[in-house]
Amino acid sequence: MRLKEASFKLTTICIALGAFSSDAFGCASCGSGGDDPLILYPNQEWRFYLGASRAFGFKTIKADGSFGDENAPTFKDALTLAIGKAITPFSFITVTLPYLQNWKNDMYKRGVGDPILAARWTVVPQDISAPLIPQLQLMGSYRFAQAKPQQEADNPYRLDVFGQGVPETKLGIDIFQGMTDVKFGAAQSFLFPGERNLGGQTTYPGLGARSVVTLGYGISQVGKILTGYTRETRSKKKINGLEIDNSEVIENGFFVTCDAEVTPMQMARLTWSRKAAFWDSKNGSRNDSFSIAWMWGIAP
Amino acid sequence: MHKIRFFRLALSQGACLLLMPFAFATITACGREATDDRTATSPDGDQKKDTPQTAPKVEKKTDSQNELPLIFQKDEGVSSAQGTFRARVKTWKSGPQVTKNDDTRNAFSIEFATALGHKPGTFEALKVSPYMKIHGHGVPRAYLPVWTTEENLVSVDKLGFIMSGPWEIIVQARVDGVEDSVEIPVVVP
Repeated sequence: MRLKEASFKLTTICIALGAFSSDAFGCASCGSGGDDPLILYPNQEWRFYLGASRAFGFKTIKADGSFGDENAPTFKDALTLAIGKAITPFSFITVTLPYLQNWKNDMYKRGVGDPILAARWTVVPQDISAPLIPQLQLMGSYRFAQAKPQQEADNPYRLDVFGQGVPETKLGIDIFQGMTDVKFGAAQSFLFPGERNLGGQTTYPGLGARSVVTLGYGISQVGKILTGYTRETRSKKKINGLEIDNSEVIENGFFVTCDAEVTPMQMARLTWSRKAAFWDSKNGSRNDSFSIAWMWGIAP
Repeated sequence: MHKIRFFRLALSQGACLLLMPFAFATITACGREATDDRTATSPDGDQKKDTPQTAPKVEKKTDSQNELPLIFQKDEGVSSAQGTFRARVKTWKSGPQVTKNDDTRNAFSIEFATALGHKPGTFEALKVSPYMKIHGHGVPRAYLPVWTTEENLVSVDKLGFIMSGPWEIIVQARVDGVEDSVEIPVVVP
């Protein structure tokens, strides 16, 4: 009952903002993107995400930062289904399941990727009476390592690689200021991978940190465009318990996301991103990707 | 009559006393021979007391080591994990290169020497596997190498590197009867 009352109030606030102020875009502002494909609006009980993406142009970034050659798939396609469910007016959980298809010329292999269970809790919600106070969310997720990693690949082109190999927990905070036309966001999370025996070696990928900064512009009831910078770093790898010199990973990325509001409860999203692209990137894999997604929510 | 009997007894006892040292010496000599025989035929080969027999064998082994040619100069090659042998890539028949298809697979030979740089008396390669430590992965099963051994050389063929960067060729081998492994660095451009 309390959940329904709170959702009703938030929905009312959103409708009022949308109707009377061109600056108001608060209800569509949640999250700063780049990390989670699906973030519930406050007035939604359920939210669904169906996205299709294609990654291409794979190139190895060597330890000295220079580009190297790589025998990677030509394309990596992903069909991602995510379902979000509100737990309280200020918290929700999501389950994300990718279905992947790796291509090398005209050969391909399909398989299910690593599923992710995530949760967000809004500590400071956005408020129309104080539009410059940003929203603050705590976020956490767990990635299951169920898909085949490259350490256990059979296919020479690694077409049968669909997972990372180790489970990983992510904890962080996400700040987003979306009440005004010009929007700003920042997210910082820390990555805690597990250790697993992969291909006969005990592998530990190293602790990680992921930062996302976004800047965008939105027009009420039309949509918004966000540009973002991502930086992911990892400490030295451990193989069989021994730290490997020069194995730190740094990946700097860039993305542009366009959201178009189809109906108040439906939205289309188009994203272009480039991973491990510039600056001090090392020990990564550069690639570009395009994605198109459809999202729709269900009110309580 | 009594005098004659006493004389005979004294004569026999005297003879026994005279013969006893000879008998004792004979028995002792036989015992020594028996002990020597046991040492020589010991099934576990323990011949600590048989110095005249073991000494030539040790000297012969040392001479044999020294007769084998010195093939690695000082600090040449990579030392194995336990320091029992050294190894280096001798020649590249093909590569090092990133493998895109069967025409761009890698073939090379690895040469092995004892810790002191001599050609080993006996050599056997047990396993050859590529690994990229800084990325924490090896190669797909379809790109694992095949190898043949000839004397102290291992010819590696059909190896596929999946990306540029520093790789390690991990070779598990038995050199002069001792099993050890070595990681030979290879940089793939």
